[in-house]
Amino acid sequence: MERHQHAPAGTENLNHMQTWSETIRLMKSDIRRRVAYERRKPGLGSSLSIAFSPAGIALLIFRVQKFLYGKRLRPLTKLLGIANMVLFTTEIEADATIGEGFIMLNPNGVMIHNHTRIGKNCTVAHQVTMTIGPRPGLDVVNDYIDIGDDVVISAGVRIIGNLTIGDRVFIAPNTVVAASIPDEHVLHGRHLKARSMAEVA
Amino acid sequence: MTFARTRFLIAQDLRERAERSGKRYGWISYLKVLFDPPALAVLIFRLQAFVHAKGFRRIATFLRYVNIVCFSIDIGSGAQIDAGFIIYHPNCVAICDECVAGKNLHLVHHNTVMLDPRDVTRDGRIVIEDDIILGCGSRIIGPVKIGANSFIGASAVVTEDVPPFTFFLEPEFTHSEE
Repeated sequence: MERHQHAPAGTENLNHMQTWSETIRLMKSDIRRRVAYERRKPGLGSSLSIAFSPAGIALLIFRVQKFLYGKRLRPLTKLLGIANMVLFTTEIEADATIGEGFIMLNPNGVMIHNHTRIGKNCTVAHQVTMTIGPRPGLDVVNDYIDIGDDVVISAGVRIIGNLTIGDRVFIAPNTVVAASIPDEHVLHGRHLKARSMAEVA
Repeated sequence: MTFARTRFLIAQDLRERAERSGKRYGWISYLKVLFDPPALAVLIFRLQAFVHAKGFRRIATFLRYVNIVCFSIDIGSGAQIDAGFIIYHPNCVAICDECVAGKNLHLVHHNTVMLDPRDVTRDGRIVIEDDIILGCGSRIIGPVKIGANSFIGASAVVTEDVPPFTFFLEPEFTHSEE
């Protein structure tokens, strides 16, 4: 696990250029991994039905958004972002970096901030938030969230702050992550307690 | 699943909803659905399940997408949910195909019912028995069984079996000064 080197302020967008062939490659890898995850037969039919499912459309829109962001077509990027928000309540900001083989299980309520870098083959479930703020001590320019490869983020997880998450990490549902996590860890949020109805009443 | 069964389920959902909101149930309930997004979302799901059982998978998937875009409710066509299904606030609810639920399942909002995302085999089932209330923000993850008459509190996470007549709560938090 090592932290990425961030470009100095003001030069980010040059660093984040994404060519069209790169965009197509990322889209294909997303669809291929989702087909394998759903245990469907690889082929044109299953690829198309994955690509035109809501989660698939939301991700495709994000990939195009990222390409347009590199070309400095900001108004178009904004429009696509609004489409994602209105249709699927998904908000993936255009400057976020997401590696190949990304799976979003449900598009609803997913929010990924500009200053987020996600590695390869990550899985994100329903209603996941990744953002650098608002929080005390927020540095809008230099704060970044770095997430490694093969990370599985379960439903309702909030990742907030300037932090690094290692490779092969699993984050349990409804956890609030506010500190860095090393490689190969499982993070369980809170311990639950079950009480019988008689005890409560 | 026959059409008569679907009509029965829809009627039971509307009856339960009318009872819970202290209103009379009658034929006018069917008209009120159009002005009641939560009931409309459940109605769309019932039609979706019917169409799916009849073998029209594409139409079922289309109805599911309608629910996702209109209400951000994602209920898999294969989910088997019995009569008296209520969603109080139709916002960010996800239920997977592998869910089998009994009568009078009440969801509030921001609920997730799904298999563990790490689970590669994906052949488990989530069994929810009768008269369950899932509080807002509660997550039910993985192949689990929830016993009858249980209450799952707000923001609780269920990853193991819950016995019947259980009050399942998150521990209380205290605030701290900076």
